[in-house]
Amino acid sequence: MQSHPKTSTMNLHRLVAGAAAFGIALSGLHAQKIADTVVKKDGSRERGVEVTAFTLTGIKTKKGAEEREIPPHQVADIEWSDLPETFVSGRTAMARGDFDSARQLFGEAANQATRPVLKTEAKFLQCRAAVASAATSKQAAADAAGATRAWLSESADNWRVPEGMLLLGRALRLAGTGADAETALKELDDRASRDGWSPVWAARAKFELALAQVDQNKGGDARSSFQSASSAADLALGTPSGDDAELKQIKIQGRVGEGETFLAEKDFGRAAEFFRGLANSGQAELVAAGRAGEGEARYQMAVASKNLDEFRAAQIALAHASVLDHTSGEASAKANYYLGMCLLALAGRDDDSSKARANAYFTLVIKAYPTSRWAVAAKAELAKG
Amino acid sequence: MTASRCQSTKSSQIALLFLTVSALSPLSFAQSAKADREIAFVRGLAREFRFLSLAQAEIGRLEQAFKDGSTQDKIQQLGIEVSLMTAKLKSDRNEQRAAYKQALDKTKELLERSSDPAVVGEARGTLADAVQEFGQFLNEELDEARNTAPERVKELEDEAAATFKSGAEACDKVMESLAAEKDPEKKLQHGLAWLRKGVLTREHARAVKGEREFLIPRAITILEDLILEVGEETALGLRGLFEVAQCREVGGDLKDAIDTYQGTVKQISTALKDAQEGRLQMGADTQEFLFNMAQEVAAKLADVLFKQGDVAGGTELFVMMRQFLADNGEQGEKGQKADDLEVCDPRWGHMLFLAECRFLADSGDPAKVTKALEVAQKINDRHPYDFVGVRAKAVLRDILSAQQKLISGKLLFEVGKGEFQNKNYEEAVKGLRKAIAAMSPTEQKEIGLDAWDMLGKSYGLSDRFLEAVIALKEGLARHGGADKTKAEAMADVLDKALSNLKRQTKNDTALSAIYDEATSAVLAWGGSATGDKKLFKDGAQFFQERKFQEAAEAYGKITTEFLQYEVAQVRIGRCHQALGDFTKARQTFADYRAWAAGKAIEDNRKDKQQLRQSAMTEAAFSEAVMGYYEAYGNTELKLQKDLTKYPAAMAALNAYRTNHAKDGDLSLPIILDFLGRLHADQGQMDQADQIYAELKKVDAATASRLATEMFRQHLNIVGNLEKEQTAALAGGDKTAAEAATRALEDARKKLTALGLDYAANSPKPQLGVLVNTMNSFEQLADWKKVDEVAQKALQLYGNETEAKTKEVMDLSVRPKIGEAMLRQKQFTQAHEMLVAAEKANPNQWELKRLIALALGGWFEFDERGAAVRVPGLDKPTEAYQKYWVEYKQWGLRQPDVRKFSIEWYRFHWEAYWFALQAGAKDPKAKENAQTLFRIAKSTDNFASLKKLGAEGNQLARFFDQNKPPVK
Repeated sequence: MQSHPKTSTMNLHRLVAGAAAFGIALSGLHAQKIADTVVKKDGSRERGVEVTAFTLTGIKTKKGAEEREIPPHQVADIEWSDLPETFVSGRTAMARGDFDSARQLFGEAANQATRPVLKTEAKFLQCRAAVASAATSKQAAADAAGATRAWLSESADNWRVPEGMLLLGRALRLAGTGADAETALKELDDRASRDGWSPVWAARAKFELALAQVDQNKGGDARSSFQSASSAADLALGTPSGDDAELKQIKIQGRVGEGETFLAEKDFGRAAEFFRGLANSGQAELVAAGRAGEGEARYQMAVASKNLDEFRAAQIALAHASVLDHTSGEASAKANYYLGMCLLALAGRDDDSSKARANAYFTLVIKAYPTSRWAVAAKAELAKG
Repeated sequence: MTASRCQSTKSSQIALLFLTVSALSPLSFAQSAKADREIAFVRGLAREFRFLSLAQAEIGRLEQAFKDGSTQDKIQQLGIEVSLMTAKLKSDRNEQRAAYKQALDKTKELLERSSDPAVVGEARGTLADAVQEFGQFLNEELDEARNTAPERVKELEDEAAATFKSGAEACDKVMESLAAEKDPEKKLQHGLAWLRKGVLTREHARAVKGEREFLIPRAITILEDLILEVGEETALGLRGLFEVAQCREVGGDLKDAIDTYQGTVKQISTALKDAQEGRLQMGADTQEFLFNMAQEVAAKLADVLFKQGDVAGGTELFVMMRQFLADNGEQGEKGQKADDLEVCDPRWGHMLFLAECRFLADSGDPAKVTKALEVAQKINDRHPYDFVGVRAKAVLRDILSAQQKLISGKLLFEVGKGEFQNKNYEEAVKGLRKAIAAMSPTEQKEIGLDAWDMLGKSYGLSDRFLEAVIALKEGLARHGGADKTKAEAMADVLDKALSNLKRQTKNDTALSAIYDEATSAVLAWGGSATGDKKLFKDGAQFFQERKFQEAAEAYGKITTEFLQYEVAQVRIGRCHQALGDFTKARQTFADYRAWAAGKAIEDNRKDKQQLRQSAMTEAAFSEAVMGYYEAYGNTELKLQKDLTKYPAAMAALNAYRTNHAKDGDLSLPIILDFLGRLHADQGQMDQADQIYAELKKVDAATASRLATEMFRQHLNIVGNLEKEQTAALAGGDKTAAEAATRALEDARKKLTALGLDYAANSPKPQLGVLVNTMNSFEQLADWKKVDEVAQKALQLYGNETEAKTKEVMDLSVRPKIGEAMLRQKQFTQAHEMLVAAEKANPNQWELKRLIALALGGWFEFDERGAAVRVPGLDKPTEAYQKYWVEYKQWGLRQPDVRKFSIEWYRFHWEAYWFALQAGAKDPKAKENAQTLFRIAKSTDNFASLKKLGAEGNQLARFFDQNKPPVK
């Protein structure tokens, strides 16, 4: 190897040993085997920590000799290191909206996990997936409620208890036990105030409560609860926090929910008028939601009246909602779902691609908005073939 | 770099070689001086100047010019090298995967074929290089799969393991061939192959978790042996040490890895300082190599520190590396500090600074996050296609998802644009809507119109023309005044979207308000409707209506002043092509190219440049299509198939795919379809399969059409193999028969896999394909799949009334569902279903046979070859009655069923089997069995039966295993 230039001073052993004199005073934590990451709501991350315990007041972590507790309202997520394969698969299934598979996979992950915190987390995620998968089956919802209740009882001192209580309320609502749902959600609302939880929990509880009241045909109560949720979100937005994006959504969805109570009461004209009001309110964040709601109302009117021109009016409102929804949230999902429904209704009046285009809208809702409630409805439409 | 280091010397050039592909590719000794000179020139074009398209074209010319075998091998080797370089630059990962695999396959093929030692040496080097690149690709896929699709991990691990093993073996062979060499350059190549073997072994360990425990120590041993051999003080030794550190990291020994990374950077700093101050002699290129390597090591170290969350360690590393760059990199002008991003190595230095961006972004501190975004964006802009760009985009994406509030409308627009360019239209819609809402007034002026334009196009490209019209109209209303030229182009897009909306809605008057508003916007912003514009529109309309003569006339009147003049010229050629006048079409393209060659476009006219590129692409596409028609034939154009034209057609299609596919994405499916057909038609099924897989990802409908052609070819292969098997069995050649049986089974597996894939992806798969797939599954005894395919056929064609289809369904498909149930041993259920079916179709003879089988069972050999009696419902007497009394008139129908034909033997076997089983209790049945056996055995003791292919041989074995009881 004579063609290589030689450095007269280099020495392999010294090279390795030279690290100590390198000048970078490393903390010595880099040999830590468990390297979780806590993702915080302000966008920062704490990497290379070991999550050691959950309590109602925070997530306990360890990094070398340093131990810390991070308050729950600061935490957006935890990225676990060295996960069981089933946990990763569960997370992937959840993200693509395959909640039933996610439920099973998280259940297996809970059995496979060796770290107690990860076991508890997997069980919680199993509940979350179970509730998400229970939208179309009362029995599944009742089972999910049972599982969530069990988790709450064995994990009473866990930072995810507020979400657990919300999930319980939702599961009870989906199971058709509206009164129990109301009780559970009111309890969440009370505890949020009493125990000083983040204000977002009160807003979430009120919103879910309103949905439970819609399901029980209590239109008037539901309208009050939606207004209350919207106000609670608005009030909470007065103090900047990591939950602002969600609070803004609740504020919008609270208003949308109000309009949807008219739809539930089959008062489509009033619903359309309400949503037009939202769209013209001058508040940018309500325009798309208003147009989507108006589109839905006009679609329902068209179905009731069998007036095909009314479907066109619905299409125009929905297309505007799609174009103007800068949040890419429920308004987009709803608009795309109903645009698909309009195409089905207009088959014969449009060219022969209507059915395929309708299916493309449903597929889009499922893929691009998998956690939206419209994804469930879109799946049902696609299943009809 | 300092001036002294910029002067290259021969020895330092050699030292530098070991970072490059060429290091493993010794120049061959010339056999033909001219050919070698030309090959070296083309290699230089590709390697040094990166003129890959030009190099590929030159390779085509060389193939024609030099026909002797040895030179052809050298040219093919060069072709593979250039393909590999092209593969590295591909941004579409599916295409990249296919290109790597193709390079690997072609290299292996060349190695098997060539006897020229020089070519073999180069090919082994290329193989190792291809393995390293493809292995890296697979490791990236594995990383992704471990986080998002664990079910794919096993398959990817297996593929990676096989790939890395073949690379390590290639390195062994290179080392073996160079072991005795004394020449320093050859010794260096020997060392490089050794180093690469260690690296490939480590990467194998990275890919396959379960094998790390023994692969990591093996990789470390290989590398440490190398270091001892070449000397720890040499550049190669230092590199080896760095690779050892990476082994430790992969093995999870992070403490040691960090120590070694740190030690390496420190030693490089010291060595460079000593060289600068004259204490150490070192060539300029070696210094440059070490300067870059220090950054590579630092980038690795930064990644490890980042994963460990060691912010303090990371911060100190970046401070130190900035100082390192200041001490060792080029100085700024007039004593000013130079920009670190300019001074550092564009690969590893930029990777290092991206790692710093991640540290900054993790802090959550707005000022630091903004700084991170700025740097990541700069790096991203400088790396549009390579792996640094991929990493930069990932960093940007992570920051964007976590730090919504800090993102400018402009940056969000860039993200949306990225999604649009990647054809993720709904993601583009989401990103662009967000960008529009986040834009400041200045940003709105600057890019508002572009954002709305792209939003409208995203809707249009996903067939949502109502939304497209609304978005484009809205964009023009808000920002049309900001740029009249852009607004005019956008009005054109709106005009097209409106036409499409009207087509979709059949001009529904309920949408008049929307139509009118859009038309007003087109008139307001579309500029004056000049004659050229109208002619262009008319031409397009005629072309769409297949009025090609009129279209050519309209395009021909367009003046050179018109922006789309060049596109119009190419369209004239396309009209001639469509009319079947290929000579005129080619002449038109040649005239256009000659005109364009003399008409340079100003640098600032990006629009014209893009249109020229688009015109050139369209011309090349048309030429490739004509070549295809001339080879494969075209009924409409009355062209016959001409096998002699296949090579030229395939070369043209491949050249289009390499040179233009990125520009003409919409035509890629057609090109792939044509290529796939040509491969399939020549029986090159592996290549056809690969193209089919690629096509499926870009256009499922076209892929489905190609699948039917491929299926036909696979079916031919199966048919031919059946004949081979029959001949081998008849000839009594056991070895040949076994080989033919294995080949036939493999072919059937391929056929069924393709059939299933086609059935799953085609909106309405052809009945013929379904039936043949079903029958092949039957031959493979996979009855579950037989049932699945038959059910699918029933679902699609069960209600068809057309006579031929109905006959196929009644005679082939429906009975197969019952038989599948039977063969899966669901006897009661099958019997009930068959009896009900027979009631409805009393003349369905096959149903009667199946009922008999359900009642009396059958005989078979299991997977291990053991004889098995399947009892069915264990009612052999009833089975015999059904079979002999009712089925016989069909089973031995005359004149269709000839004596001693396979059908005749099958009938006698089944009747005999039922009689034999019934004979255990019934003497009369026993006698019947004896009679039937005697008839079947006559007159040549089953010799005729054994000549009837695989089924004949199987029936002969059945009779042999089940001789009748002695009277």
